[in-house]
Amino acid sequence: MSVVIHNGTHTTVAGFSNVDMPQIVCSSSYVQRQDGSLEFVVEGMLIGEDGPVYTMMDAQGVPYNWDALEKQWRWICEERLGCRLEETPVVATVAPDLPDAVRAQYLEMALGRLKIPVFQLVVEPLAVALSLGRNTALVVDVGAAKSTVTPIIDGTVVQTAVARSKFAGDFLDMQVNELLTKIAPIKDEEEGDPNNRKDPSLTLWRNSRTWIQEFKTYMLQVAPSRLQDLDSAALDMMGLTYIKNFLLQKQKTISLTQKQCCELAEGLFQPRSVSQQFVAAEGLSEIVAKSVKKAGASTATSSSATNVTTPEQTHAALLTNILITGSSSLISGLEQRIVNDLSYQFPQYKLSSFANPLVLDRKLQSWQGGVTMANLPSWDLGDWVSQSDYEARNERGSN
Amino acid sequence: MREETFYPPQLEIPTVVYKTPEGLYTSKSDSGNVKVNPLVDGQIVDLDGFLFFVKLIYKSYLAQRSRNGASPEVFDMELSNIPMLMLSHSSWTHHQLETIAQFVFEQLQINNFMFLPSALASSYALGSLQNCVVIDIHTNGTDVIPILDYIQLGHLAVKVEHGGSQIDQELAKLLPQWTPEQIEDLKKSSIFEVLSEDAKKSSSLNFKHGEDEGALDVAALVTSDRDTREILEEREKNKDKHNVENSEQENNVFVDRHGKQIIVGKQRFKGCESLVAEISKTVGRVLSQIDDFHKLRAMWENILVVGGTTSISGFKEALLQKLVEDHLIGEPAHEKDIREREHSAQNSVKKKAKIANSFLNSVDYVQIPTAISLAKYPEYFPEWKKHGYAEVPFLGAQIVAKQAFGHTNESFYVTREKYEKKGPSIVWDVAF
Repeated sequence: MSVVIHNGTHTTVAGFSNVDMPQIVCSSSYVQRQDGSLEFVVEGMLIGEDGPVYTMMDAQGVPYNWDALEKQWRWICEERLGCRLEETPVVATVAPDLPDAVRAQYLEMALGRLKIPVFQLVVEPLAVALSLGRNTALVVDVGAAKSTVTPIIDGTVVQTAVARSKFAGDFLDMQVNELLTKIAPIKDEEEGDPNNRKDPSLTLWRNSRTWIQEFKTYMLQVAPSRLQDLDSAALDMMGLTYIKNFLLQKQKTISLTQKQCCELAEGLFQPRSVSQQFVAAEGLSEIVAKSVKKAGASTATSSSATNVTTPEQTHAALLTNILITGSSSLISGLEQRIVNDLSYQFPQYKLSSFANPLVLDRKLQSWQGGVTMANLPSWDLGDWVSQSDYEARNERGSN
Repeated sequence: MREETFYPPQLEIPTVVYKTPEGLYTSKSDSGNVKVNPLVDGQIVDLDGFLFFVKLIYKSYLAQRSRNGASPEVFDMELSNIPMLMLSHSSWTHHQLETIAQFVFEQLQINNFMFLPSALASSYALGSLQNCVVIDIHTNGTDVIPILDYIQLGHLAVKVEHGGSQIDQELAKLLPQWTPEQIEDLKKSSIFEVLSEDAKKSSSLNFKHGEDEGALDVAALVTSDRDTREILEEREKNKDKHNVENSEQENNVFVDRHGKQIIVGKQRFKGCESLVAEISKTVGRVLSQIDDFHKLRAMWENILVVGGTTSISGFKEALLQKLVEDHLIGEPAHEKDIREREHSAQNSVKKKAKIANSFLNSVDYVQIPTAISLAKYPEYFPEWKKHGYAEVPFLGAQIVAKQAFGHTNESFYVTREKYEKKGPSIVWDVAF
């Protein structure tokens, strides 16, 4: 039995590998309490002590606040799961292109400071693909701080072809916040007394965890193709003129047409529609296409003479195995849009995609991927590092 | 357990053990022994104490059935193979669950055993609800646990920091001269209730103001809209006839644990407000984490409230009322006013408009909940109906025990054979 921890940029999921459901879902950010301890529980951060919100992961999904991460792991294992770290194998999911230096820092924290007996770093998209029974896949992960596209061929991540953009959930939060403060300005409860005002980072965090999140779940949608390409007849036919009503904080009705709801999410696919400063090539479909092409090119150069893979074969393999995951991918219409956009870019290929239809499962997909890796039938299949491996490694390093 | 129908629990045992100065556990409260509560609000805080407590109950049962060993033959038949089902709390850790399983098989020598999370047990008691939310009110805390597709979502469960004792604290503020015992007795008496808004309106008593100290409130009589004589007459009548509603009486009487009659005023309708408000807010936050709309809708329509506090008459209704007030999605009153005014203004302009036009459409919202309701309690357990449903997890446990153990399919519980093959971690392979 091991503990699996998935530190996302927004949410951390953790639990034992021998049960289907995680025991803990908490925030990947935290508030420091008066007594110096850290609050990771969402409920506690919503109604508990005030203070600035700190993050632990950078926009690439790589930890930089190692001190807080160590405390979080300790809290997860010892306080919440009731197990001793020195006796518990731990599996952690990480980004597909984790630099070696960061990998070393992980080992130092887990094996050196936390004294975990055996430890495994699992590449998140690879784990997702394998847990869904595929060893070749194009994993499109639309998370909070970033969207990541990872091509996997025969169980190996094509490192050079991993593509990423910052246009994901947090970016949508910003769009929603901007729109709503424009049409329905919300009064700041504690206006007037500057000493009593909450930290802006906490207010932002709380907003994004409450009404912004609610607005995103109920209102946002993605148009089947570029909005500006649709004329009014097409909009009408697709029902995009239909009005959706949203009750904001039980006080105000926000009425938007479906087209307006689509416009809000359009920035994911066309960052330029939001600001001219953004790079058009970072749109979601653009990075997916880029990743496919790069993967085709790199497998063609690396394959040996006996096992020739043409770029076309790689393209075909990836495009029929598109896996869509990440909490922000739950916006309705997103999967269809990616497929539609790709069919323009790769008209000669057959496309097939999969996104877990169970909302809860998709939100926990990365953690469940880690569980699958932790439960591989043979010890040798996993990439476990033990205390003695770690010591040997350190000796080699120092000599 | 009797076969035909499910009976309410026959025994209620305080979860208390004692620790001797030598560190051993005992059931005796001799001097020098320290009182230990192994369970606090469902959580195991003293595992060894808890195991001792389980052993104590099991041994007492065996002793009782065999008349303290006077009829040993029952061990051959009746007592030889008692399966055990234990209700577990969502906070119990893996280590605790495995240790309990080990204890049950190795110390108690029980051959068939299973755990059932108590929130799930509640949902099974109410006809196996697929999607619901369980609000379990303990003494000092309240668990809000969502259940989705028969799975308890422990990772989304939230603990409210207050429980039934919050009511005692509120009452102590209102009745400062009362002892904690008297307050507890008042809370448990039948005249302590939470009145609905309707009952408050229809009652002859004035609920707007007037705080009395347990005796006749003259001010309330004077300020009441009704004729003073009429109220006094009614009071006289009350003395003869007892069929006047509790809510219609200015004062009422209950009997405390020492058999003394105590008169109490309107305080008997107060004290639950802050607990109800806190639980309602938490339920809203917990359910906002679920974004499977179809199931979320079902959860809002199946709210289960369990725990001793729920036997207070009107408590569940008051909680439902508060949930509706806090969370039901509907058009805000001021917006509706504006729309109605605009609409009637329009209508008066074109008076010849058809009748259908004078009808104001309601606004449809994308959000959930548009309906909130408590789960329906089963009508087909007559004994339980009489008893009340505050201990409904026990009923669920009875139902599950009967189904799981009364079956040739062994996949729902741990048998000795399975335990011996795999050890305590077998409990994870047979989760119900």
